Amino acid sequence: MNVEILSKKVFFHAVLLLGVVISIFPFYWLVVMATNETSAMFAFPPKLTFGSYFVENFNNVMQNMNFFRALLNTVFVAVVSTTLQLFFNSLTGFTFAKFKFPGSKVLFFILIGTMMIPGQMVLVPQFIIMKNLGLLGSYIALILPSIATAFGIFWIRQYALAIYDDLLEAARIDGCNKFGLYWHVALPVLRPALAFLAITTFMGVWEDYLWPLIVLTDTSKFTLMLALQQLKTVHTADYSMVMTGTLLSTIPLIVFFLIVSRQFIAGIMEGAVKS
Amino acid sequence: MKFKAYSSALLALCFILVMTACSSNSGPTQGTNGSDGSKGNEKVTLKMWYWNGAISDSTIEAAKAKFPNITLQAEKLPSGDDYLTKLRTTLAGGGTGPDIVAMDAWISSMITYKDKFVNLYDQGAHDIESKYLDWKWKMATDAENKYLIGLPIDVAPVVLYYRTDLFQQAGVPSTPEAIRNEVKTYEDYLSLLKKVNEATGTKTGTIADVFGFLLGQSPEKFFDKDGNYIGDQAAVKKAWDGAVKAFQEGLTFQTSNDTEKNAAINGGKISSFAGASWVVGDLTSAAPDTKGKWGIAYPPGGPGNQGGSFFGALKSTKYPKEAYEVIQFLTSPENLLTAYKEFGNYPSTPEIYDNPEMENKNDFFGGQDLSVVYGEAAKDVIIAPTNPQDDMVANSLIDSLKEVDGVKKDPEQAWKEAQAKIKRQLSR
Repeated sequence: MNVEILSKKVFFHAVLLLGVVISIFPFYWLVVMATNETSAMFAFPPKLTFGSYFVENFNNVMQNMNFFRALLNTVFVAVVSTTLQLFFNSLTGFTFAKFKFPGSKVLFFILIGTMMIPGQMVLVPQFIIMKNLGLLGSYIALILPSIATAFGIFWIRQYALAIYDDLLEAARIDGCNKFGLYWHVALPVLRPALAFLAITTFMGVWEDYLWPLIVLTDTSKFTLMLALQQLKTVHTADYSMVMTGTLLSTIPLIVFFLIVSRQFIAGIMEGAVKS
Repeated sequence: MKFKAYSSALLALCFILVMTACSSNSGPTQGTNGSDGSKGNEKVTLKMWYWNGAISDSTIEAAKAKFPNITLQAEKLPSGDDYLTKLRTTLAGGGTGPDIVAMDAWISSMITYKDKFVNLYDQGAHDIESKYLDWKWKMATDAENKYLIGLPIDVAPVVLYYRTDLFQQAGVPSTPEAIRNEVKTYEDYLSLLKKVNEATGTKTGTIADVFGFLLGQSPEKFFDKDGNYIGDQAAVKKAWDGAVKAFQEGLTFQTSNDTEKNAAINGGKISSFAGASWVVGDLTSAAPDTKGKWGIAYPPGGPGNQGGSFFGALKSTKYPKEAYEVIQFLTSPENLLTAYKEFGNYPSTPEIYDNPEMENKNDFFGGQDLSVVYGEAAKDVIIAPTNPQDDMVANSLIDSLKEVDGVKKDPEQAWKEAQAKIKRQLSR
């Protein structure tokens, strides 16, 4: 092999390795802290090796919060939100991309325009709407505002633009109705786009803090991110316990990512071969 | 984090807007969950919001047992700013708010919206006023002392934490009594620090820590009670100059992050610092190597207060009388004593300070009874008027102080720049 190419390769790999180390380090430290005592966190220079306190920390977490209940709540909310969002976003995105109807452009731009409104701005109005609907404190209040998002619709629309009109025409001639076009033709093609959307939505719901904080009051309905806060008191915290709780709450997220990202890659391959 | 800062700012804005929009609309109150319209002996449901560490769980159980006709739904919510955000949104938006709410030191900022809270004076709170520390009580009343929105739970007096062994080595007063009698003013403390520094090479907290400590002793802070900015006047300048002086004499620990500071405390590089009563927990876990070598003393120049909470009732409750009864029980001296024993929240009821059960001998502090010093300090706290802009002003000044330390900026120049920055922010 050419020396120049080799040195280039070494260089790029070094850069990539550095990137990996930087992005993995916080997670590594999370694990380190979850297996140590709190005093190790205050130590200087910082402790970087695993300790033997994980079981103790784990038991502390279990005593101080209802972890599995919160996990179940979060999985429920995340799965329902993600499923609904994939459905409504892809349906709307596909419609915007492939059907001409009066005002479609205006509607689309209004939709895009809403992306410019910061989420915090709608917090209080959204809260009042939920109150008037009598949904405060329920999971519906958590799920309803996120069943369709401007970004998701935009994302799917951009992807759906690439679907050949001929393909849709052929399906139509074969007797497919409009929903059939979406279900049988568009959805399979949109799979990689949906996989990406699923990951971001799922993570977004999993990590959402502000909205659940405001809407939920019943402790037994708390999602993980809210319940984790109960490990902390006002002025002090057993940080290794908090870290253990945080670690436990990220594991399901990682598992979900691994499952869906496989879909994501498979989807890319599929598209490449077909075209 | 940035997101959080923006969101709180925006929320505050929304809060104000909605509050003003809703103020004329004082229609029928929003119902709470549970039994409706109960009259006579039917069970009353009271929903209560609090955070981990505001009150002891065993006290809540005691309240449930004490009031068999009341179903107490205690919701343990996330603490700190998040709790405030949730409370503000609920106050602004209405909805299924709680009957009883815990409130932190920010209770003073809620006085503006006192019509959202039950006036506890109407429920007979005058009768128990004498049990509580006067300054603490006043934090929850309006200027005329006609409206009370919360009963005090705990206080967090600021005292002097010091290394007994290092003070002895330097030949300076090293018992709590000697420090109280001989190190009365901040100037006394500076000269003590100098001696300790010469003998052991150790320091006190950072320049910002000293500034906060001095400011806490002042009856005036950044704004007067009418909301006029006075942060460029004598009281604040005095605290600033005091902090700068300690820095210039080489007595402050360099500006750094908490990890470094904790390591310095554990490594014996810091011989004393001022801290609130809740510092004990952090200090114990941060500096295990110095166990038994610490002591606490009445702070030179006078104590301040950093934290401590209240229980109030929202106007939307259907049962103000029952809510008051529960609050009164939760904040009774006996129950505050329980909380102190369980997790160190110092009670705001001086009558129990001499109670033998208050004894709190701590091995980390060489067996010293911490309650004695906290009690002395708690009685002498002075509270300056607060203002929603306090944090902004404090942060600007502290940033500038850090520049004095970090990049050796001229203190007068830094002071002027900070003031200009603050006035620019205030004029918006």
